[in-house]
Amino acid sequence: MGTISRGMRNAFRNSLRTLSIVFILAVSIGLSIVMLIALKTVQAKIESVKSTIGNYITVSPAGIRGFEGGGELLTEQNATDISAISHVVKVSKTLSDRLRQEGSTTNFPGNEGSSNAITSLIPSIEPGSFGNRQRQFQSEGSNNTSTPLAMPITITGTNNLDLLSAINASKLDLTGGEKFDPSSSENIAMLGKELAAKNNLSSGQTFKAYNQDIIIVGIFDAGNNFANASVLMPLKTVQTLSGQTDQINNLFIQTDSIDSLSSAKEAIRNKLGQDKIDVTFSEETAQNAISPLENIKTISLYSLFGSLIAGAVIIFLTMTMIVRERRKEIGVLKAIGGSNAIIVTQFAVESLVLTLLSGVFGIILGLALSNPVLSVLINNSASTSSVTREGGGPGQGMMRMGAEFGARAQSSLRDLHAVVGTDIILYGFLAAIIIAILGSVIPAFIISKVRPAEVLRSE
Amino acid sequence: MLKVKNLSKQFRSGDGKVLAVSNINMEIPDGVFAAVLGKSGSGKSTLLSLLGALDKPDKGEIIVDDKDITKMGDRKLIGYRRNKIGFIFQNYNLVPNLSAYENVMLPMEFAGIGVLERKKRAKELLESVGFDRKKQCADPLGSLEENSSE
Repeated sequence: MGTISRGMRNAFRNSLRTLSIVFILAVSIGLSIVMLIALKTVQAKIESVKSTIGNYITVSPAGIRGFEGGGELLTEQNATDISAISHVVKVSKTLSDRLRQEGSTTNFPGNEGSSNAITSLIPSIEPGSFGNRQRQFQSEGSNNTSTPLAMPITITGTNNLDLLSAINASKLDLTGGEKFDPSSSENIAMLGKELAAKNNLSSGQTFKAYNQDIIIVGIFDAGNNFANASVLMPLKTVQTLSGQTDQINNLFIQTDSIDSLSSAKEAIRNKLGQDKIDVTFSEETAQNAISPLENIKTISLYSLFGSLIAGAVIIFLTMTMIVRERRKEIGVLKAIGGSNAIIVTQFAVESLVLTLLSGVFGIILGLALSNPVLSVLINNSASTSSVTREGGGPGQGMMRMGAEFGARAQSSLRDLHAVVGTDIILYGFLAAIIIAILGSVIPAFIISKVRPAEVLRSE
Repeated sequence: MLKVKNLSKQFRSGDGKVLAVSNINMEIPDGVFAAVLGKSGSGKSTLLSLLGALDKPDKGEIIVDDKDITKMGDRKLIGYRRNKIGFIFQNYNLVPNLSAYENVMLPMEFAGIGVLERKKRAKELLESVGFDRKKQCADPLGSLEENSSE
């Protein structure tokens, strides 16, 4: 029988004690595994949120707010310049205009759209009392109250149908036809489902805008009435039809990560001129979305260290107790020629067997509890976070994008599931080995100090 | 040849000190069977512990084969205990969860003797003192202690 087999056999010398130690240590290692899984899952989610949600910058002409004017429109050259800035991975562009029915006036604050922005479409939104009050306000000092009042129809040209916030949509589901190619310059459009229903139009039919026939390629549901009452067209088509060639209302810039937002923002402001543009970015909103995840990460990290330390303390106390209990045996082993290295190895093997056995049960326990514990952590953190978000109030204008991102992040937080890989199991065993080593250091020191004669004399 | 010169060892006992071995001088030539006789508490076990390198003297020399073991480091002392000394303890001091055979084989394992040789020699040694292997299965340690004490 060698040193290692003697150590392994010693681990089961007292079955009741072995059972107790394995149980307590398994709980500790199980908790470590749960926290490690939570940490890894949350870390992966944070990276995902950072790379997909929070890395957008919106650039608009200085002072502009919707259709209320202000500043000079951006240009294609501006977009090209921004594309060249480091960390910028994609630039999406929109140009919006407002169409009115022939013989009607929109009579709302802001521009009236291009001079030829006339359409055959009937708006699906009624002015209502708010619209009429606005009209009254606009008409003071003029005699322009005889023409029929109609809501303008917003038309948005975009080069990226995937960036929903750029087209004021929370989704873009087709209810008929197909999506257009955003790089096209043909006279094609997609109609919001409310607008299409109001005008009894479907895909394949045409309507008039800018004195041109526009072919409807698809009908969409954008998830809100405002967007469902609007028209989407390729950017170049809107630029050509509205006589605003090369002009752009808004640029939506995606950077490679949330961490590069600040530097990209400064570079854009320096490039285009600080007095010519307004730059908003979603870092704060993204941080709000990430905040509950960061809380979970912090809790997991501290709990992971806590449970590892608890495990090390358990095995340390156990091994110290065992070593003290077997001082006489250690003395005998030394007296018959056992070196410190042999005896320490024997006790370290005993410690390792106990922790590895606990590790197996701990990993099983950890895997079983990871999802329930993660869900408790998420529920606590998400409820705290939602209280914070209510304080900020709903966003408007450009803030809509941030609010949408935040909501999406909150929603995805609820869908967070523990990610378990073979690496977790390896980490579990690694934790067990580390615990065994840490817990054996001081007992090993005690062993080295045992002098055979002292032990034998005390008997 | 074993030579002991001016060997002394004292222990703390409560507030005072007990001089267990006082200025011992002796020589035991090779091949001689020697016994130490004395009253209880006269220091016989302490002397044997010092000669067996289980303990360190306060002063004096213990020379075995021309080497002073009191000046050896821990590593050399382990080698000395493994290869030069065989120690039978007063209270047997067997390792409780090892069988009689395993207890006998343990010093040989530390001395680096191979498994087959260990088993062969352990069997021979135990049989030479009338050790009953069948009895060992029922009470492995009791059997060995009983045989050893006879």
